[in-house]
Amino acid sequence: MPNNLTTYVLDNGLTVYFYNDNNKHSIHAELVTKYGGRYKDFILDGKEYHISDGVAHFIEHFLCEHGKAGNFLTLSGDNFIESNAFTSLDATRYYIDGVENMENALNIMLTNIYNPLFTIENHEKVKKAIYEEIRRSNDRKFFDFNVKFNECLFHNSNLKSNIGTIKEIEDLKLETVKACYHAFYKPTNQFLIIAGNFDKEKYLKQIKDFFANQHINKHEGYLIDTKEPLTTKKNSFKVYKKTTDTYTSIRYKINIKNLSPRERLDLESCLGNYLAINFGYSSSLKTKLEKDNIIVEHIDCYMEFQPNFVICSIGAMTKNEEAFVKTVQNVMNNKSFDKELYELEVKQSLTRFILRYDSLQKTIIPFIDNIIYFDYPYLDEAKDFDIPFDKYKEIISNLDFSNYTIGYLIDPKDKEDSTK
Amino acid sequence: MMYIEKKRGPYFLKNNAFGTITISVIFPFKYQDKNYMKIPILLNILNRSNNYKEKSDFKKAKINNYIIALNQSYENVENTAYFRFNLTIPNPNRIPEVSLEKAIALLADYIYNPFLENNGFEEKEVQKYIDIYHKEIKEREELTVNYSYRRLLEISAPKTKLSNSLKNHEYLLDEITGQNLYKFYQTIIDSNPFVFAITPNLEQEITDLINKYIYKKKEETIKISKIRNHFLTFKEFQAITEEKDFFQSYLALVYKVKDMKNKDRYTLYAIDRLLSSQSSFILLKKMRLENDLVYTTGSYSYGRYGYIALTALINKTSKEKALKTLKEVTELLKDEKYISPLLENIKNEERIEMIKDKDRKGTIIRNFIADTLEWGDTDEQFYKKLCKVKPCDINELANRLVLDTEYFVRGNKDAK
Repeated sequence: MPNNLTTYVLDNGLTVYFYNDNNKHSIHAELVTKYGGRYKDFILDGKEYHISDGVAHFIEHFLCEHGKAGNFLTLSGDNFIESNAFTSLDATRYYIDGVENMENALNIMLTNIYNPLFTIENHEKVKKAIYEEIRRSNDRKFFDFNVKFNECLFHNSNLKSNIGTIKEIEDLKLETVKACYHAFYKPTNQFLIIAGNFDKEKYLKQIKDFFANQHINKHEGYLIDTKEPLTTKKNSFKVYKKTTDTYTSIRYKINIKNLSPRERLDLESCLGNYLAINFGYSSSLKTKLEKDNIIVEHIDCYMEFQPNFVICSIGAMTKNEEAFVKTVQNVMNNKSFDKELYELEVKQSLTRFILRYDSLQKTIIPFIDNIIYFDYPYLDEAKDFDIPFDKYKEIISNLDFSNYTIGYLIDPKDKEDSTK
Repeated sequence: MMYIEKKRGPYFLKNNAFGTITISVIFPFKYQDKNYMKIPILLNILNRSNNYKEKSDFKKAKINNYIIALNQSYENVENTAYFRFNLTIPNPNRIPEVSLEKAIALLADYIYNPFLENNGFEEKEVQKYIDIYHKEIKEREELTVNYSYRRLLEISAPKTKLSNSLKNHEYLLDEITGQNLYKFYQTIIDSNPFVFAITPNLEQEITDLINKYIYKKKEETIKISKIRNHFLTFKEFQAITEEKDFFQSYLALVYKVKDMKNKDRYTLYAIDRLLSSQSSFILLKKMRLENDLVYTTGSYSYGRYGYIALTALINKTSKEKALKTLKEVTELLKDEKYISPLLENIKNEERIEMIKDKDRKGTIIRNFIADTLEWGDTDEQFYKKLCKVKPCDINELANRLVLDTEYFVRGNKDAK
């Protein structure tokens, strides 16, 4: 796949990436701020802040609805542009997607992000829709379960929910919102990517002209290192909520502090393959666990990269929780490596890589993720998936799976039967 | 005329934009309600051919043959059901090691020679999925939107296909066995399939391989149902309130169109888009931006039923105000001056979507199949008719919207 990526760093420190693909019919533009729900402890202009949950998400709503241009979503719609924004634990992303009028829409998006209208009236208005969003998230089966996991995995984090509770949002002051905005919404902490079929020089000029007229954020803000230890706070917990079967999940807290960005990218690939080989849909181990009535059906595996840790999660609806936990622990601690199976996974990844030709999003989303999670502005190539077997073994062998938390989501009617 | 005859193919859509070739083999068969729950079980249970003892062996065969995807799906149009197998492989121009013949042979093996035990599908696997579906049905009842959407259709469009759900067919699950499921599967694959391929080239090679491995019958045409309208008639207004252990409350208004005609389908679609598409967003503007009542609100319509629903997830204390606002929104549709610029917006939005669709392989394939089998207007045909809709048409149809159902699910839980 051709590497059509070009990079510019503006005078204000904003990095702009252009990815041209003139075979496509549309353009996608995304402004990413490396500030998400996780970042609650920081210093701004010498003053220390420890804030409640939900502020990053609150700011996202604020900028979409009450920026100098107006309502970002409705104005995009007037230009026949699809737009939205979302806040994860690590970043806030604003995007526009269209064929025509993209210059207008880009202007609206940037105007709102860099020119919020911080008034008490707007502040109170933003709260109302978020209350309903919080109610929606409370309805989700795994909400309390995931909150509890955060509490047990981390000593120095009091993060419960990315969007906060109703009480936290009710109590949220405009001064706090402004402080977070000034600390993190700075061009040096952001990047802009434009991808698709477009005239690069025209967009570069538009972006430069936009920032030439912008007030510069001169606030000094940086994160406080919470000095999170390697261990977990609690080894296991139970949550009681309606469920047809008990859900058992083991989450490993793995130290990656000393890994370089490239090493983290390779780790993602190798650990992904290790999990697929052992717990994937057609793995012999998973088939055996089903046959032995230990799990109901599939095993969920995922990795969540944070600045100093990767959380590796393995979970399933279980019929025999103890046996499931024992099996997973055995796989993760007594690592075994099958060259044939590994090479099959690599071959599958290389074949599937061809799908990236088909879609703009399939190309640039991994690129954006590489920056957010690994601080590594790198456009994946097929060869990145072809890590030699010996290197794969080395990478996995060096991982320490001794710090973990086990969570059980149990139906209240099984409470008396639980012997754990 | 309720049926049409179509050639089985293979049909080719030449497309150079993608790095892959996709082949869909679609078996039409008679839709019968008694088989409703066999379909989801079947979709899950097909995972390898009889030549592979374990799933891992079949996975190995797929990978070694560079198969990116091999799966199945299901559609239903009137009395014809369609069981579809999809194969995606890299274009051999990109990866020369790809063997078209081996890939299609594996596809045929997968279709015609599924993994069996005692002349049926594995009983343990069948029972596993029956249990999973019982649990899935139970779990969906605990989710605000899943539960409410299902119930709304049940009460506002009873005894129609719209109200079909896993829940109201759950009783059929325990009748399924490995043997009767396989017998049902045999009736499916015994029919003559349609074949579609999206490929930059290789039409002759694909045709020869389809003839060799896929087609089993000599007949070249297949009879399928023609799509029809089933306009619902209003009987009497009903207002239903339920109490559930949810954090959110759900409010919906269902309207049916009086004296609905086929040409009204385009106007009804335009109304649906005026209410909830981003270029118009009437519901969002009124319910959220002006009145702070929601995070989520929207609409959906079934043109062939003359049915449209406005929905909102609200706080339990906001019911009266939300109801009033929703009704005001439907009155707004009669304001031609208000509607006129928004109507132009949604037409432009559709035009832009058609341009974007040129990059969406899934949409291209879906449209290609739907167009060929006459499952409705093509996107272009629909767009041309949509462009003819005027503000006075919106006003006229809005005056024929009859409020059929008001449905409120009060969530009793309090979020912190």
